Amino acid sequence: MDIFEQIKSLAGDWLKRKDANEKLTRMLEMIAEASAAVETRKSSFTGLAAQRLKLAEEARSRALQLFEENSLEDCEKFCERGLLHLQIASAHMLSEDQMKLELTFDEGSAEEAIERLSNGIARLKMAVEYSNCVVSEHVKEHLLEVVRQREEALSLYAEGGEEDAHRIAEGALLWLHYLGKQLELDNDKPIIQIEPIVKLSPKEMSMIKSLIENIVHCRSVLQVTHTRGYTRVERYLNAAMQNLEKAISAYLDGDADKVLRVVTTGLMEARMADELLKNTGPDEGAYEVLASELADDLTIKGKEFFRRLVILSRLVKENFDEPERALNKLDSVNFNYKKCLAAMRDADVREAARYAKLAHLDLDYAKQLVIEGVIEPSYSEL
Amino acid sequence: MSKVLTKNSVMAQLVALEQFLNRLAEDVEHAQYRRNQLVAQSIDDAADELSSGFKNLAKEKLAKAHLNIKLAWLRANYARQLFDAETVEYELGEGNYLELTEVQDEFLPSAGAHFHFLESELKFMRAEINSRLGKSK
Repeated sequence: MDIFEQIKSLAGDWLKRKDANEKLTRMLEMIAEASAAVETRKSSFTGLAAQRLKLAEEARSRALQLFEENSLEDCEKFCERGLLHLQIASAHMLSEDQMKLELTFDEGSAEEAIERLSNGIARLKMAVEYSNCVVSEHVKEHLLEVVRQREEALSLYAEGGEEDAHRIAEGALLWLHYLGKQLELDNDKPIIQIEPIVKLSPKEMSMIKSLIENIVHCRSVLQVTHTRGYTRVERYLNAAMQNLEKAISAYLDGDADKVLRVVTTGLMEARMADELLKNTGPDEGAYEVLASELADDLTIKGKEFFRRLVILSRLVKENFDEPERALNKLDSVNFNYKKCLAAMRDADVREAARYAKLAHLDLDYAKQLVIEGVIEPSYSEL
Repeated sequence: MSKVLTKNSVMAQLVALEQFLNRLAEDVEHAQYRRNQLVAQSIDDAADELSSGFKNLAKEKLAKAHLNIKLAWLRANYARQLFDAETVEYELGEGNYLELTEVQDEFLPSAGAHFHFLESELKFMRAEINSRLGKSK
């Protein structure tokens, strides 16, 4: 019989039927035989099996020492430990492919909520990486908070605080639902949909969800109709957003009354924004249709461009020796890019082309200084 | 409904999890293009839970070992999915990873990625402007 099959078939009472001397001798034989088999046989997990055999050998040595000291009870324990390591090694050697983990979480349980949250975060990351979409600072900040909340939910769950863990996971999933909508809005295309779960307090959860829908709806209308913004509407939407944050915090605290109050207020603010939008037409015809579409796209692109430029300037300032020249060039990139955007909005394509080229040349100059280490960079034809 | 825990069922789950984690760790090690702090941390945490699970199995504390299994799985599977997402980003060649932790990146790779992004945006914009210029001629 194959040594690993043999070890696998040994039941727990096998040890009890033998005296200590016999156990130790047999274990030594099994470890030696299994080690030889691990070295010669091909398996996907020989590394793991070898580690276990090493641990089995350590347990056997310790058992032998205890046997010599006549501590038979402890000797028995270490023999059992050695056998367990041998059995784990055998399981690794006997599996041709990765063993399937048969683990399902009960529906509505805290662990299921945490798993859904984990999957939601990972799906959102996958969607962002795949689509290469713009992720605003606003989304990033909230996403980091969701990641932190997942960790908190896991810690609470590990310590036995299942209900708190469940509530935090539900609240974080709600944020993810909002962030999915916001990503879609920021990029003007479907990115990902994450549905929240409604287990602990369905009524409150539905109310918060409805507030999210209202805010996102108004923002989408605003973005399409008012490319330069609309301060009064934005003020109401910001207030609604603050109430959304308060509502989710209250939900996490299990304070249903407060959820009801702040969501109601938030919904009123969102409704006010909606009414204002309904009663006001789109921006006065400052743009032709084509220019308007372009301006929307430019707003999104421009934001991300400037955000990257600011981060890069900060990095250069903090890490690069004598950063002045590079920083001056990055300032020029900023200036020329802004001029280029303005020219595009005014549909002055020639000026836009001129400024875009200048921005490109300045960026290349800064790159030669910072990345390529060129002491005297030159303006090359780009 | 929860299944009854036996020493064999718990051991089978621990072994499967150890293999899952081992394969993930190997994949992460081979992917030298990037080291994600959150993935690395989740793998370490899962390995700690797994180790506690084996210890509890040895002491025949099966319920505790099962809790360790659940926690280790939640951490390991999370790490696997995040790692796979990063692999997609790497394969697509953008190198513009979505960070899920507040990290201080190394200066040159990080600055290089920002330069790359800004340059691509400018090239794209110039191409678009040039095509408009062509149309308007």
